[in-house]
Amino acid sequence: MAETALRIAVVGCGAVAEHRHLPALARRNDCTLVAAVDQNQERAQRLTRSFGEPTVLTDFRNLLAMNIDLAIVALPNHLHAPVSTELLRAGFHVLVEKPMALSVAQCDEMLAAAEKGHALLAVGMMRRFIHASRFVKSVIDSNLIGRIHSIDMRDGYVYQWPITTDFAFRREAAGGGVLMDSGVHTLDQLLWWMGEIQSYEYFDDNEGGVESECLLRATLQSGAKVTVELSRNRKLRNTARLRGERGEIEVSLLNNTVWLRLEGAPMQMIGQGSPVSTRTAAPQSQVDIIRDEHDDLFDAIRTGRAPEVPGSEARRSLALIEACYSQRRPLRLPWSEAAPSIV
Amino acid sequence: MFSGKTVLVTGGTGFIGGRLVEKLVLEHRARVRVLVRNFARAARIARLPIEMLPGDLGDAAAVRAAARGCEVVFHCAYDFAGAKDHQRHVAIESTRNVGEAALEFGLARMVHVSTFSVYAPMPNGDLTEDSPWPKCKDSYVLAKREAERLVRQLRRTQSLPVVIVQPTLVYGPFSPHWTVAPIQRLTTGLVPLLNHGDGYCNAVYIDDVVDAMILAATRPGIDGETFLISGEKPVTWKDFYGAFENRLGIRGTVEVVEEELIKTIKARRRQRGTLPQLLNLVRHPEVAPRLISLPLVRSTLRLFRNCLPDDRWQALKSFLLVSRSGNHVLNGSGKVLHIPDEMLLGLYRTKTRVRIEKARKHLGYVPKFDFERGMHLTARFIHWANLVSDAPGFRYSLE
Repeated sequence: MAETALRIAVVGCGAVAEHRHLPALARRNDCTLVAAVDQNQERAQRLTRSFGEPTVLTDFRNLLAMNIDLAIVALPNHLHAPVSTELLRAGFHVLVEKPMALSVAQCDEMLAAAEKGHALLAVGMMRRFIHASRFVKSVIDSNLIGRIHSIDMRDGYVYQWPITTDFAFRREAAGGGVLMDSGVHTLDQLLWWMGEIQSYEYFDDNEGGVESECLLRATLQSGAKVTVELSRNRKLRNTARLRGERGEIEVSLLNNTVWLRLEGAPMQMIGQGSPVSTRTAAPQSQVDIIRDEHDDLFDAIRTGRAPEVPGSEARRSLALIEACYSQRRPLRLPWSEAAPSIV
Repeated sequence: MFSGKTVLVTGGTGFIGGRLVEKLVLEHRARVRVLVRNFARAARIARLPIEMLPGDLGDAAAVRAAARGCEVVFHCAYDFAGAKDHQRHVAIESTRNVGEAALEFGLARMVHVSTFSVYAPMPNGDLTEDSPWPKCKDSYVLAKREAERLVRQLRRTQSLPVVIVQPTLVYGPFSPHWTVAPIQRLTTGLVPLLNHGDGYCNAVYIDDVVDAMILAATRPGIDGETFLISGEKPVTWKDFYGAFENRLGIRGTVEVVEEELIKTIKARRRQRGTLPQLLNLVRHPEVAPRLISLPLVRSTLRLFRNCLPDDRWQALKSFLLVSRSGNHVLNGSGKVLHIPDEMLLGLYRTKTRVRIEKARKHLGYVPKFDFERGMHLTARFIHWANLVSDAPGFRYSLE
């Protein structure tokens, strides 16, 4: 183990820690997992045993006395902000899972805490590390298909995350429904690719719980028209389609596939995103993506530069979500009686 | 009717229970409690201000905790998972737990959701609540009959205020058996129309069923009664599948002579080896896509595709995916014929007319959705759910 190995704590040992962060950390030799925090001590022990038996804690505050460089916060949504804020204030670098907080006010507290503690705050917007998604960013920035005039994003599948409690369905714990859960990724991609929103209207099916369907129509400052549709009840196209003056680029929202079509051309290109340093395209697994996310943050910590997705960046999508919820209008399902349907 | 009252719904994450929860909250202002075994399935009802309690209907203590303080319980749950004996056991235990909890806490009514299939195999002509229960081997029918017997027994011995509803074939948004499955059959192969498809399909739109259930929960003086719930009148199977075909611009039916179909079914029955059965399972139109979506299966198939010459790959693909024993490929069309199981065959061939006079008279039930209107709304759902995304001009679109 290198002398400069980063000392890491995982705070929250649920599904995302088990299936993403821990497998990605297990591939590295430039870090040491020194602590794992979870209310379920037995589970935390079991998941981290292969890391040389790190200290297992039930209260994250006990970390504050320890020598730790980076805390990965993978708790239920409503705990992201309060726990991260304390850790940042104490000078720990933090990688917090999405959504970084449940409100913009909480985001600002976290940013202030990071400044006070001279610590880095990175947010787990993992889609920004999907090669195809990065390729789209380059295509837009290079003006390859001209000015983008419309973006159409459809993100939905029948919900089947193996949850064991109703946490994801309680507004006070989850902060919202599908918009907060997967929409935070979709909107982050939109804002990252295309810049700020000028005007918008937002519809969802929430009647006093958390929405399982929503629709955002917006106009960007660039003038481009945006449609974002999200669902937990049905399989949608699960791509973003960006139409420009000279062509169209479409990208999977879930994996590394990209389609490039040029105006009037009879052929399109379907392929995978890949760094220019490699000759062949390789599939990018979910753990590969998280490893890239870790790579970026580790490098940022060592060099003192900002991470790819600092808190200030992730705050943008949260601000949009907050704005959407504040302006929400009811979404009528197309078969509901007397529906002035949106179809 | 329910304003401010607390109501327990079992099976609330399912099709009928899910729509019931929506209507109870949005139209009747009820306080709804749902016992949830699998939260992953609760996304659809989580948009409503309801109380979701974690628990399994097989756990008497969990059911008692959920029933305490309720006025009414709707018992909609039925678990199609697991072996047949297991299904039966689960159905009986759940019903017993719900019935006993209703008695213990003095609930004003238990609405027990059964099915018109308890009368299977059904005769031609009129079917009423007085029709007999002929000998039947189908495990679903036997489980539902046993659950009915159990609540009737609790009615007799302990005066359980139960009302039994027996819906027919419930179609509409989110219906797994009578909307999603027919669409899958029509888009993945061919549906046989037996004898020109002139058998009767007793279909009922989901909202009519739910309205009937709500009436069953509130009407006085009907304790212990049983009500068949169906649409205004049956349609033919040709009309039923035809409505999907016409509204969705797809073609997926074929006329088949009954003797031919029976011959095929017998041929299939002869082949009982483990491997053919497993392969049949793999080839099932609902199973195959799920299997193929598994990363391990997908990468293995990709490996074969990359290694094998094209013709070998095609041969392997057709061996794996196209059944030869039962769902045979119809000459020339390249499409698989969906062979009905015995229950479905029974439904296809008979001209049973379900009578709803009793529900009209004693429940005040009036079906509001004729087949035309129900299918119109169902087609909107199918659009929206992208169930036939390949059909021309039929992608759900906002533009």
